[in-house]
Amino acid sequence: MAFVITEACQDEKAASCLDVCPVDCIKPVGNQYLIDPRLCIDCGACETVCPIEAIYHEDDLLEADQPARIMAINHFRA
Amino acid sequence: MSIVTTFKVSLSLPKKKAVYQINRIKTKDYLLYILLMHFVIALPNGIQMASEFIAKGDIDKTFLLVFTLYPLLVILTGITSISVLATTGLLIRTVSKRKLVYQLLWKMAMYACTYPVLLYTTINLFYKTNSMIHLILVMLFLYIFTKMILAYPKKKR
Ligand code: SF4
Ligand code: SF4
Repeated sequence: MAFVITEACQDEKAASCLDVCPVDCIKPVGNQYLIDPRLCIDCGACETVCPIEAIYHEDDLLEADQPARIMAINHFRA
Repeated sequence: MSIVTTFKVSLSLPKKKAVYQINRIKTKDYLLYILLMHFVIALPNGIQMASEFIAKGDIDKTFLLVFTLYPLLVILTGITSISVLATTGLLIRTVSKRKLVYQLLWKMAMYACTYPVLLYTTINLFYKTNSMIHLILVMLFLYIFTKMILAYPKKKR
């Protein structure tokens, strides 16, 4: 289980989530940030600080946001 | 998460699950909870002051003035106290090698105050707190707060 940064982050990149993440598992990838699901401890600290509500727990993701989850899994597996 | 759920989560602290759950509480409920805690802590003095005014039988301008200023004073003192308590978290964080920003520590300190605040109010309603009880309550806070900080993993580097 992990949190997922959705497409809404693209070009916003305020990076408030980066500062609060206690395990530094949020990385810049292309024009947005992604959460490394292997390292995320599910603490939720990033969720409430995102000014555009781009972060969701994977259980709460909409169908349209599933590609963001897959993208993070594939990116960090590589 | 409603205010009732927020309260229940706070009572489960310092369990790891609850420590992470408080991060997901919406800002609106978080602010409401801060106000609720201030209301609870102000209750014993508020009741005492109100009964003194009623006993004297003069609910006049002074009464209204006191009851407008008192909550403001309580909130100001409360916010300052939480900020000071959160600052102790900076030290615990450094010693225990955790990466926790002050913003997060402030929130954690506020929720860690739940048990001490409830005990303070309960004791004050029936008895009077003294410096020994205050010290015990601060120790209780530090215990809960430290356990909450330790719920996070150590920094990698
Ligand atoms: S806070 Fe939100 S918008 Fe900003 S970088 Fe993080 S996910 Fe993207
Ligand atoms: S849930 Fe916690 S560990 Fe996971 S990305 Fe957000 S802040 Fe980092």
